[in-house]
Amino acid sequence: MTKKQMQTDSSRRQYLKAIGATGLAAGIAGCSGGGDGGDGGDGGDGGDGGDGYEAIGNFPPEGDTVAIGFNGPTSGALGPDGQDQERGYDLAIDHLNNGGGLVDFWDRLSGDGIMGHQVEPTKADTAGSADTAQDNIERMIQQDNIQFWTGGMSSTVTMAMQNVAQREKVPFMGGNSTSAGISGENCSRYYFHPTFHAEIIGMAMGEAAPSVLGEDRSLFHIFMDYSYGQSNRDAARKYLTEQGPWEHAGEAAIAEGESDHSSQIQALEESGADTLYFSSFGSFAASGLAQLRDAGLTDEIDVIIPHVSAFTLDPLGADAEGVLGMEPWNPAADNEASQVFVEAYQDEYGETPNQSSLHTYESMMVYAAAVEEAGTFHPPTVVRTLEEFEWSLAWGDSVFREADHQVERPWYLVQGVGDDRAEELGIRTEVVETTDPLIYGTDSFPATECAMDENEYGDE
Amino acid sequence: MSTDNLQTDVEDESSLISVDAWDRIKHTERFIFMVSVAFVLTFSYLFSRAPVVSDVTQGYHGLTITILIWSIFALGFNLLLGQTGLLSFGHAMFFGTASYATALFSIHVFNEPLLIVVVGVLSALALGVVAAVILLRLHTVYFAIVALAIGQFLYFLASNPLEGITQGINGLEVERTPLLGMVDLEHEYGGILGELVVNNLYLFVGAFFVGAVVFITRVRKSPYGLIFKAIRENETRASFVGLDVWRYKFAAFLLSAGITGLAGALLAVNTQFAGVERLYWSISGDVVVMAVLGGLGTLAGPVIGTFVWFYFKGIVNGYPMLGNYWLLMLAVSFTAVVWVYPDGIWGMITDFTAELREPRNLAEKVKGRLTGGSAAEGSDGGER
Repeated sequence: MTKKQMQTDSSRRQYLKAIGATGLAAGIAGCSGGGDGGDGGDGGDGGDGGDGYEAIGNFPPEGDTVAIGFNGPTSGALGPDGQDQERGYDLAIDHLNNGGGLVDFWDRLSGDGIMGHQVEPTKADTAGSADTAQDNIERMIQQDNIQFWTGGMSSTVTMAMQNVAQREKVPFMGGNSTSAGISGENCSRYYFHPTFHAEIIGMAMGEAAPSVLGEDRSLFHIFMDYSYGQSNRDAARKYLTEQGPWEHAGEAAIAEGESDHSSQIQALEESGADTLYFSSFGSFAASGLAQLRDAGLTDEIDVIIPHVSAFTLDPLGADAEGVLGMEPWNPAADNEASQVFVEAYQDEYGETPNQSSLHTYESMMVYAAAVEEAGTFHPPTVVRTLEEFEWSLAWGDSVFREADHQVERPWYLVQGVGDDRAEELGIRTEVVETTDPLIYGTDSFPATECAMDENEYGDE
Repeated sequence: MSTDNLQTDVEDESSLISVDAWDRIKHTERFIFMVSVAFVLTFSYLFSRAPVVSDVTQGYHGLTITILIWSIFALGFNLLLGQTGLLSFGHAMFFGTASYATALFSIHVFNEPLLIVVVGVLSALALGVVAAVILLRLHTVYFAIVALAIGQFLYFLASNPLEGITQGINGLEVERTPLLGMVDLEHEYGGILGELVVNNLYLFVGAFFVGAVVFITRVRKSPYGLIFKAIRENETRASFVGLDVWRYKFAAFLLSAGITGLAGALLAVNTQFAGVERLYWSISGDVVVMAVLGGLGTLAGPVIGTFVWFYFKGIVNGYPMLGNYWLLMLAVSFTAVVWVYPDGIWGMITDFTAELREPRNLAEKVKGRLTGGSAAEGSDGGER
């Protein structure tokens, strides 16, 4: 992306802003009505956000409010997690503006908006589609003047949005998506990935699973035969069998859309393995587990599902009992901030939060703190502040890496529980093991695929 | 269904401003061309920036480009279903394939907006030839379902075996380059032009929209297009007259595929992205809803249907509280409109204006309703 292009970008923002500011005085383009007098033709040199930075992207915010967007899948297959994300987002807006929850807990935040600007919410449902997400985010950028946005579950959407964030120079954090490409080949200067992906799940599994299940295990893979299943299988093989103590017992692929797993189950039985790495999710995982149980295998064989979330576990119901998996966070996480968040969330909604609720919530806390620390909403400055940003809230000790914008923090090996225990906990998982903050080196896959230097800040 | 071609043979000596003169003018190709140009020039302004109007619509410029592109898709689809009577549930195949072809050509060969759009259209036409050979042997529901199957076949092909080429669910990025190497599509205009169209990208898409409307009008007005209609009304009779039905269906299918491909290619240019979801069957369903909601077999109908669809998806979606129910509200509106007016929103409008022209009938009807008596029979009910 060239500098010239970025200038026209910012001039368009200014132009559209100027139109918005003139409001009823239509027909007269470029009249300086509001706080930012740009006249469309002057390539971003007229920004007067009050703190000496040039206008770029949607900066500066207008007046004494700042808009932050939520663009997540509140309907469709990913709806359950998207709705939890939305609740976390709503709560974060309330806390940032009025205090409460982690805002009171964390001395970097004031409870009086962000830098004295009241936070204005604007939301939309992506329905899990990249094209819808794109229309939504255009609305938020052009009409609502957002300075930051969060939300999202599917990797497709997150990746498309990474590109939009980079183009429009609006920071984005918080796709709870697990494709390694997000922090690899598709990495973006304006996106920060605050959760794990297939590679980290495999790595955390290699750290935690052998100490729970023992070192003498033989591992069989049943995986969905496209990128989700394949990348999880590859990572698990690498960290559990190639570099770990376990033995590889074989694998069987599930073709996309295939729901009868009997041939894979037969292969599993013949292999004599005692552990199954089942790279599947949602209702597919649910029906797969039911078939395993009918085949009488669940008693002898331990089942691992790489990434568990509400979306994955709720359809399993009581079948989830004993199933192991990784979570980026659990309400029983052993830190004070988590308990503060869980209590605030329960007060508001009368239910226990999960990883998706915290995902958007803490992303917004981190963005707000970075803005406070930078002393401006100026996107390149905020992005520079977030690179190597260190904090410790509900996610535990966390830091963003400059090289690929991937977070390094603790991960949670969890176990599914039966109905009674789920009622007690308010969630279908309980923590078995918490890892240390961990991440692969910047010299290994997928960090090696990320060319962050090609993604400009925009104010060079 | 439609009322085009009806007035072409009306010889009338009434004065210029009479209703009949208006009927004559409104169906001329020049008039339709001018209306579509005027629509493109004012649409973005009215929807997103005009005083009062845009406060009500709460529109934004980016959505107008999306609506123009999808309108082309709906018009292309309508050419097949509304004009020729072939219901395809697999039009996403042309949409998605053209999108991919556009992106792949821009990445691996040469990246110039006009050229990659042409490549997208050609890819859809090529696919159209293959699909037509398979599909045109089939009728009614078999035609629809096999079209769906071919579309899903391509979806699975793109999402898995061809992942190395299509990047699977991750999708492809299309870099934006200047048009013909010199016109920056992101260039913003000042003054009146800027107020109306904002940027070159809108003009680029708008020009294709006008082109598609003009082209479709030409087809509809031509004797060739009349034969499409004849096939829609009665295929057997058309063949007894001596027409080679297969050949005309083949032509209609290709035209529809090409126009759909144009939309897919433009969407790749607009979003700078091509992904596997554009091949998914639900896209094929969306476009059926858009065409039927607006009014099948008409020119304005698919455009109106697309607008309503995206109004819910892009604007209502963002409402506080209500936003999460946008799909539900769209479904209810769709059901309500189609229930009362099978000819869609455009049919509703034409019914209404037809009634306005017969003040006496209208007055009687209103009176009938007010007095609680059973209302007079629907005014004329179109030609069905």
